[in-house]
Amino acid sequence: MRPRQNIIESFSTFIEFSDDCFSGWVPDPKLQRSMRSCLAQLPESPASGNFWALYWHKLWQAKASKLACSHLYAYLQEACYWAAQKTISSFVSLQYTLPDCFQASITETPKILQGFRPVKGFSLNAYARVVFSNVIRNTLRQHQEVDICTNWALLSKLSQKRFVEALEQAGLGAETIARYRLAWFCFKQCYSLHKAAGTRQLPQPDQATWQTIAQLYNTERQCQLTPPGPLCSPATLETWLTKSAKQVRTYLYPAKTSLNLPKSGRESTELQDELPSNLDQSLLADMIAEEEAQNRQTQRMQINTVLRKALVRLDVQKQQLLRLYYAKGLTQQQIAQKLDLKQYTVSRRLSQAREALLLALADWSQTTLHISPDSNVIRYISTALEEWLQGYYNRPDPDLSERST
Amino acid sequence: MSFAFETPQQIWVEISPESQADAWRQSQIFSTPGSRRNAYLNSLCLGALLPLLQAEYAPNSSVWPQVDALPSIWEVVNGVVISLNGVRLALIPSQDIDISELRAPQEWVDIPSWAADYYLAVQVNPDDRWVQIWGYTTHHQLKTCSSYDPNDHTYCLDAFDLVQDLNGFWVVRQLCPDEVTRAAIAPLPDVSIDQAERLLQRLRHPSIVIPRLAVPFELWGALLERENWRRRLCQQRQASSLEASQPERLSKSEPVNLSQWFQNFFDASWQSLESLFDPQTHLAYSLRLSPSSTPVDIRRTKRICLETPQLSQTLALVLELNTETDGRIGIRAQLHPVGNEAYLPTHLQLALLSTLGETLQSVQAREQDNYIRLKRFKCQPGKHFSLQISLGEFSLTEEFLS
Repeated sequence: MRPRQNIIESFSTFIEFSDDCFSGWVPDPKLQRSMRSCLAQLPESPASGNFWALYWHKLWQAKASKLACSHLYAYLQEACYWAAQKTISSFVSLQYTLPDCFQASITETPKILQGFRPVKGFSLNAYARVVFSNVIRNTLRQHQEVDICTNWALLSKLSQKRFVEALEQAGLGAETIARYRLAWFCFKQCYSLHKAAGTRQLPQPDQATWQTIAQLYNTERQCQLTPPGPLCSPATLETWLTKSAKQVRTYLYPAKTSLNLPKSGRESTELQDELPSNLDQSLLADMIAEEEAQNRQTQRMQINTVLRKALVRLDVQKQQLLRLYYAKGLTQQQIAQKLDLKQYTVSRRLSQAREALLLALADWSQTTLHISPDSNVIRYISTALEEWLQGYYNRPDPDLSERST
Repeated sequence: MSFAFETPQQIWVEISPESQADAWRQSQIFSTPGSRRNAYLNSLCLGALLPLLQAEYAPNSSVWPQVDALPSIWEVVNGVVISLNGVRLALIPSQDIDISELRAPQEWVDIPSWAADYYLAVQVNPDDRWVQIWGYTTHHQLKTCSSYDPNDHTYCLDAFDLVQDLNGFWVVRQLCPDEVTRAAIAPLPDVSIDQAERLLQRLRHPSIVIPRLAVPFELWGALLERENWRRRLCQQRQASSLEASQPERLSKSEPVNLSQWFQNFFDASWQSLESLFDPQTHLAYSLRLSPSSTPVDIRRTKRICLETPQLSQTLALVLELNTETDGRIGIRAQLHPVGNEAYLPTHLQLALLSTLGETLQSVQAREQDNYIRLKRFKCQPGKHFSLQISLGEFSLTEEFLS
């Protein structure tokens, strides 16, 4: 992929694929105009993408601005692309294309905007990349599981959130969804696992089980449904659940729709009202003050020093594991095979190595930035570490590649 | 495939085949399919994660309130709390393949003595035999940021709102041990003994599939918080489900035909010892069972549900048979407690009755007897006799044909 060259491009263009590969950046004229006008109003602005990302994010938070949201959609295209690219390159055998993965995760952008808290020093881009990676990994893992589960196994191993989402996507009405959800809830309460393992091959419930499901449904509907609706027979419930399983399968494992990606975020027509944009001066003033006070460049160097020191203190094997994982992009399974270790051992040691680094970084942010690393803050420190590890192990450095072979 | 997608931010632990088998066996006494699955997943989760926490983070991590209280919790609610240097971690296991939300039962959030500091989202995969902690949150976060689902009395938090980095958890505990983890919760009402008795009476039947949803939460929480009430609820439910699944137990019509046992024909209610006791206790029983030189050809046991207004307990009636040289059958009968009870109820009596109903011999449990047995007796083939188990008004008679 060709990285975008300037701030205007970064906040106004969208990725396009052809033949499952990156083919170019497609500009959105309205977003282009908006960015140009912003830069013109603020000729002295810091040229970093991070600055503008924070600005749009603050504006989006403060005013639910659609324009800001669209700029961020454009901005996060690259983070999503790299997350998809990295994940997919680790798995040779996948039948998923880069656009598939990109598409599966870019739709989570609103969640990322919601989840991100601009704690000083940590970037939206890094946070987004980590979240996109998680989303892609989870999606792929789900697909593998969906492939080998029977309908009944699938229904018994699904979160309520996904179940309801699947029915919503199928276009069912709220009342129907509520009934199906209750039927599914009763199914989970009444359907036995038959063996300790083999939960993927659960067979169709027998007649007696359908009876108990129906009994429970007909009792529970009185308090869990408004209105409670009619009494349901076992046969009705079976039909509902079979239908639900089908929808869930489609939802979790959509047919491939590569190439013509929906133009997520490119709702330019709706932006009419917000243009031309005037910069929010009070927001800007705050941010510029912060920017100066923090002196990001120094901060970055300090982080680098802290983490390098912590890295050297790790034992040789842990350093090797980190290298294989982050530089070589091997999966934990591949590392285990390569080093003849148990997978769980690899997992534990990698985790311990990362924990030591995270501790060093959190300790630094506590003493230097005076940020108390509580559970709300630690996730940003965690993404900052992830960003650093990715960068550190993938930097063009002949020494490193020599050592890691 | 299990490890293809894993990152160092999550904690992965293997489930050993032995602990899986144990978890499965122990889960089978629970009263409904849902509670059996619940007990199974929770026990897999705890079996994998507690040793890890003890080995790597806090050697004194322990189950709250104690291990033998777990069955009474898992009978009705999902989750288990581990106390780690005074900090309470609630493990909330789930089998869901999509890790898209944490659903914490209200019991672990709103019962004052049950509430935890941290809630760990645990994914259990019995097929590939692993357990994963994929995210965590605080009580405070759950109370302030999650959505409450009134349908199943659950606090639900989207995966995006969890901290999906378990390394972070240990770092926070080291650098920020005083972080605010709890939000305020309302106290639960007092429940009178009468009220509790009525509730227990109503909820004991496994036909009430989900007792936690059958009463308003405040009342339910108050009932559950009292250990003796909770234990009774659990025991009664498990006992009645057993009754329901084995209706023949009470019928007087068909005596148990012991001579068929020697041809390996057993009534379904008479099981091998292994199926009723776990290996360790089983070993202990075996030692007690074969103290003498008397040979034992067959050993079978049957579950007995003892129900009185004061208590409910599961017992095992164990029979050991052998063929004497003169063709008679040698019989030894014993009673043992099952499950977490170490002792038999005091004054529990086991008696051998003749065809006419006369007591031929009997034995009574003293305080803290962990089993009782009748003197070994011999029968001609084809003779009727019965064994009677009684305590106060409770009495149960098993008929046999030797």
